[in-house]
Amino acid sequence: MAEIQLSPNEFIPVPRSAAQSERIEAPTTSFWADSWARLKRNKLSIIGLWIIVVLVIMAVVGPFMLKYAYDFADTLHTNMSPNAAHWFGTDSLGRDQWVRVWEGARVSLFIGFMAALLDLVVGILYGGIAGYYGGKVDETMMRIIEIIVGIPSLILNVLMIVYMGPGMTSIIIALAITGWVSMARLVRGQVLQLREQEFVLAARTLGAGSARLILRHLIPNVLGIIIVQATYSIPHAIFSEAILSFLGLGIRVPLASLGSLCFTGLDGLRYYFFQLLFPGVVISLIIFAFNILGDGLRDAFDPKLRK
Amino acid sequence: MSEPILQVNGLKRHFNVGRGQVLRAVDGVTFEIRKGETLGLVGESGCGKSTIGRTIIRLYDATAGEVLFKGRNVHQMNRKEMRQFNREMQMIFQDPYASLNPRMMVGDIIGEGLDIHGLASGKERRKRIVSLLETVGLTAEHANRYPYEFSGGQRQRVGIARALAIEPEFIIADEPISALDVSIRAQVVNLMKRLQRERGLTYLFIAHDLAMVKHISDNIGVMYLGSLVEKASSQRLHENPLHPYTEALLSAIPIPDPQVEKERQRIILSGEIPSPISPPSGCRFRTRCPKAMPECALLEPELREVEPNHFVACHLYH
Repeated sequence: MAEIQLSPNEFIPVPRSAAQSERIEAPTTSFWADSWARLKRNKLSIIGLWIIVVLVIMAVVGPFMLKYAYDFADTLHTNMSPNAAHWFGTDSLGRDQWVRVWEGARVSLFIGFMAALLDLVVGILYGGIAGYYGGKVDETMMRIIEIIVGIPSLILNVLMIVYMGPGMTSIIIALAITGWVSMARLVRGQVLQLREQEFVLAARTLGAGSARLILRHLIPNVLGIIIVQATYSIPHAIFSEAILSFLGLGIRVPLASLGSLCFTGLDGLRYYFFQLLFPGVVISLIIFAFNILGDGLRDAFDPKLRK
Repeated sequence: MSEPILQVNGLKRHFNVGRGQVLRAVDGVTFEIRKGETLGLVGESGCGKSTIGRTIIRLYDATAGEVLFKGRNVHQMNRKEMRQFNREMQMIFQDPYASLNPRMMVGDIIGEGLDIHGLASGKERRKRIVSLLETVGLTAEHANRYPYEFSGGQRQRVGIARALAIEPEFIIADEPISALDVSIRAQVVNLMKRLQRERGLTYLFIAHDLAMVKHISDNIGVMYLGSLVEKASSQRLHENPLHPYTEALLSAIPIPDPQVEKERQRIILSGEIPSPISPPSGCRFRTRCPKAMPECALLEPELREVEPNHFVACHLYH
């Protein structure tokens, strides 16, 4: 076997300057661009996102696609099956179901978004203050939350609606009163953890004030988790409204929500199951879509995939 | 000899850990640092080194004692004085993965001090950031990147650039190299030494590795369980360690000669570091000290000067 003869003079170092060794070749991406790229790779979540987009568009334009008003009762054409004139049929008062379903979807989505928005604002403020100041402030604020959690939320919702009178506003407020708690707890935990991180300490030693610490250092780092939580709280609010409607405490007739449509549809289930089918399918789609989008967002924002 | 820039007198920092228990992280520490010098602070994990650093820069309030920076009491400064103080004293942190905000670009991280103190904006800000990046061996193109794209050593240098941005006189380096690979530790330490020469910086260099501290420090303080047990010039401490704990620490440094290393006797300390919630009576080190005497349990030894600029807290020398 021939041996390979090598002498040191045959080796020359590859020229490499200090500046070259510090270079980073990969293109830079921000956290948000990166998360979006990861979300896009998640097919199921993108389907969820599209379902939400389509449903929102339909909730806006759907009622105008047929010439009926949502509260127009045509007593000559009651309980019709889906047909060319009434795409989803009519209900027991002869009102067009297509128009009512999308009108109801609009009301449900509006309640969902508004309740989630209130959760977001109150939860971030409350949790942020508790986490940022810590100590006794945190202690007191968390005990208050525990008291609220101790009361079953349905009872609190019902009490609030009975107290404020039925209507969209009171439903949104009632849902927000019980809903913000989980957001506040989440934000508080995150802020409490971040507050001791070295980059926050570094900003403090540079002389950063509270506003700067909160806006530049704390919020950007909890925003991902907040968005995920909000994506889950929208379907939760929609579902809770549906439950309240089932109890007869929801939206008042002739206005409809998906929950109240399901409730009325239940009466004629044996003969006219379409009346339950359509609003049922739409509400299921909404909840399903938000949940898979939320899962996808959670994966996309997960900092553990980073580094 | 120049004036001391920082004086720490009987500094204590206790933490309430619940159920009426108090953790004495720092329990009566006194030292001073002259302008342009480096004091190395060494000790095991949990001995209170980092807490001292954070208390000096007022991330924590002092339980007792005082910190005088240029003769002013740091813990009694008002808002305006604090703003000035923040420009004069800066900190380099231990964990390069936690010390940079992951949502901010490196340029903005370095420029934050400039923004807070309104030192530069627009083109001037950009210019300052680039020159800071170059000072720590990075380039202008790094400014628009996010921390996750950098290596540990690069991140630590970004942390140094951030501290330098507002041109401080005093820098607390809280274990700046312990999270780095051995191969790049020297790089960071040499950068810090160069900066000290060029800018006349004063360092408080906290570490648990005596070998590295010797390389950078003029004086070294050895800590055990919240208090200083020995303090001397770097050279003197290595030539003539007095405290049994210092001897043990020094004997742990490997010698780069296999023959000597084989024959060398290491002092192995028995047991664990006691809890700072209930430290031993008298001398804190006595439970692990190979030379402990009956009187060690009775009286807490004071830090005394046994030869010029060599302080030790041990009953053997009193």
